[in-house]
Amino acid sequence: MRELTPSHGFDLEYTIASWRAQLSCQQNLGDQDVRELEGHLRDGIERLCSVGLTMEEAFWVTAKRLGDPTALSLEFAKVGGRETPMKAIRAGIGVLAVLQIVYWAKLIPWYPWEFYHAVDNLMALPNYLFVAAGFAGFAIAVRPNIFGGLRKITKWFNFSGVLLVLAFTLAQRIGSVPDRVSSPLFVLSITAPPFLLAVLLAATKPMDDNRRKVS
Amino acid sequence: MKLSKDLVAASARPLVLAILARGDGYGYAIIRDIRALSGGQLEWTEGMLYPVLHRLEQEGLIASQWDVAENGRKRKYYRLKKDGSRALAHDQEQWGIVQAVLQRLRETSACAS
Repeated sequence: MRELTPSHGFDLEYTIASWRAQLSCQQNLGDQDVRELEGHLRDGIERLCSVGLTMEEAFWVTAKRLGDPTALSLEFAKVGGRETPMKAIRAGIGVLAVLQIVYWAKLIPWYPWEFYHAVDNLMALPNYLFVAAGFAGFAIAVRPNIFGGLRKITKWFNFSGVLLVLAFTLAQRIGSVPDRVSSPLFVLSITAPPFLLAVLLAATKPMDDNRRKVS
Repeated sequence: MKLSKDLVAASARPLVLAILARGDGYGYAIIRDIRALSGGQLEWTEGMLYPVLHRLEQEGLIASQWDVAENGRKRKYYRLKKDGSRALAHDQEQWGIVQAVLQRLRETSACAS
């Protein structure tokens, strides 16, 4: 393929950046949508440059073919609306994660003991709340597509993060941290099982990361 | 020739599913293939393909995944799922029926004249 032909006085990156900014303003276009459209734009520019257009011509032709941002946004609006459950469940997992961090912080030797009872009261939430959050998290972890809009959570660290939160929640519901902890070995023995559990789950339920690669 | 808006909307699903049935693909390649296969007769406003892809994904007919393309950029690839193959077979059957009726009508009107 021929090199991109620079046109005099035309800054492709700058032009793409302002085009992208214009798309990002549209309320129905998410970050991923804009990235996907930008990929299309760049593919189109590359293609047209390879058949002899200047970069500037290639940009305008491709942008025109992609369509007017407002019209695009309206089309995207017809598909959207599935974001809410994902946000809610993500928020749930986030809250669970914070609760777990606060709870397991008791293992730190310099833990402020004034908080001790407050945290314990917080942790006395009904079991079913934890179970529900757990199921939601597990659903996200193993089937990001389960509610359509959840597809955005596909990265490995999301998966392992959710597993860790779940494992620590499980460990917290099963056992409890004694009042005073001093031995490092004890700290290790009580924090290691959740990690091992998460690793085990990740190994037995791997993400479908190695799908057929395409050209 | 530009298809009417209604026809574009109705044909987008089977066309996209049929393209993906030949192998995984991404937006730009799908548009390129459709244009090439129609001999340039089918022109879409290219951006409109993406809402279609996203809707098919929500319906569980296709799945998507971000991957690094051969040019080093990240690209969202789509692949057909089992339900998608079934939906494609269903669509093809329906389009076949419409096509057959149109054909028969053309033959009978040719006979009549």
